[in-house]
Amino acid sequence: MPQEKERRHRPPGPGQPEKEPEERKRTPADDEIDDLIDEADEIVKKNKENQKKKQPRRQ
Amino acid sequence: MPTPKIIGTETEYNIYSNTDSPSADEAVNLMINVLKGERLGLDKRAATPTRCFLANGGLLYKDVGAPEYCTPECPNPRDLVVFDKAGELIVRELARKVSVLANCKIDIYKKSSDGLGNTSGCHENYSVSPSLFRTLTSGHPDEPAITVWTTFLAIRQALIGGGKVGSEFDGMPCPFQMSQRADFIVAFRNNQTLADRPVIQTRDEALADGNLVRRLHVICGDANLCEPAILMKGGLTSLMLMALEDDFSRDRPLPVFVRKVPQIFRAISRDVNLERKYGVSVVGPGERTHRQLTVLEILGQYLSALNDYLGEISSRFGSDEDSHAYDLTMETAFSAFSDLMDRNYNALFGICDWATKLVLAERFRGRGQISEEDLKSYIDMGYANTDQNSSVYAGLVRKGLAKRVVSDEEIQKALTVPPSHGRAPQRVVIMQKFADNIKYVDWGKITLAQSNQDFGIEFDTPFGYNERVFNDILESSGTPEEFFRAWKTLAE
Repeated sequence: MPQEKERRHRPPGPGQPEKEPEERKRTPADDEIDDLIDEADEIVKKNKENQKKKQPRRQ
Repeated sequence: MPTPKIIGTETEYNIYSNTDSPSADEAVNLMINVLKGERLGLDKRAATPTRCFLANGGLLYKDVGAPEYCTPECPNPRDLVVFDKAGELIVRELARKVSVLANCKIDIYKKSSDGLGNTSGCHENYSVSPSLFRTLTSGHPDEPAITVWTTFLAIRQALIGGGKVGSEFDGMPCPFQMSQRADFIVAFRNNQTLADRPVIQTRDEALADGNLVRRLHVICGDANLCEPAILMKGGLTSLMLMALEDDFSRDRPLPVFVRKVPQIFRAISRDVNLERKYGVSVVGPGERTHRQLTVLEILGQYLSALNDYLGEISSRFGSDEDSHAYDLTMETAFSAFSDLMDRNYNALFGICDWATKLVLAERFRGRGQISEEDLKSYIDMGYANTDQNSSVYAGLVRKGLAKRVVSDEEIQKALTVPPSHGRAPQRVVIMQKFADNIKYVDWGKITLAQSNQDFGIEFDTPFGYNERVFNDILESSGTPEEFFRAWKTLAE
């Protein structure tokens, strides 16, 4: 029955202390993000001209 | 018993042309003209130079010089993800074709502000009961349904904000904020969309029989690229509305903002460290208490309440597909919430747009002296560009860094096939069967012409009719007139 389904995650209640951020270890995803950032100059160049153009007043 | 939720988004894309001819404005007309000749376009007969229904049941039209894509009516939030993402492909492909045909470069961006003080809408639509619609749009501002609803809209930014660099609101500078739209939400409630934009938009266009169901127009949200964010936007918001229709919060008091909600929108949007405390009221039986809570403390209570509510109503969904979509929404929201509690924004990379952009901004800044102009060009423009070669988000997808909710195959299918149930697929098959007789099409009505006579086919609700009966009458009707007569018995 759907009502009996146990949900996998529950949000901590307001009374529970929030965790302090810990020192984070690098993951393979960090390398991928670094690769993305390596392409940033090219992305900036491609989008810069449009970035200066105002959009008409819209919804 | 809540009204089943039909969900849709209307996304106003930003368009730029590298020439004066065609200008960006003219390019939108060209895009619609191209669409009419494509299999993506549906009402080839009834389409105007500025408007064409799509084979997937959605609509592309020109709105104040921009291409606006409306999803078809989606029966669950997972379908909303599929059709919202299909819109990106449709608009991008039309722009590419116009670029080739007109020998220019048309760029399309999916975002809600231009960084220069101009906003574009990504409006949401939800089917609601006439009673809840009246309460939200004209009830006393202190009514519990209104305070819970507006508080929910303000705190959901922490999960679904589109993220942007800087401020576009005078007197409230900031380096980065969760929402692109919050700076433009300045009123509590009204019928505006072009100025003085409100938290509660009161537009009363049901696009159906308003005695049976109304359409609630929500204009305070952002355009999203992350699939989980689109899922949470449609799913949590629908659940909240269902809970309000069931008066769920009556026995479960929730903290609410009682005043200055537009200001709180802007404050939450800037609270990217999630540390600030906000004054809230909790109204219980016979008592009202005032507390100071962080946005996560408030959000945690809302998610818990919605999760309990979903547990109670799961058996009421029309299909397993719809039920699973809401379970997926809740799982996604709890997981994201947990990462927000840990301030683990890296874990939200490719899940929440604003957290993704914040991580990218910090990494980009980490390379050394970066001007704000370059940062905006990379984070705001680059992220939102739909051109796969100029888009940061496309890079995320290529590298497997964007969390997927739906498959590429589902999105491809959604270019030309409507959702599986509801009004959209029925409208589409009527239009396909009587393609040569279409005189006018709107969401809730198709006018078919035969021998100088018009036959209006009207849908009472966005939920569609019994599929077996509908298919029987469509199959057995050889002409618009026969279909119209059979339709009248169906609609009665």
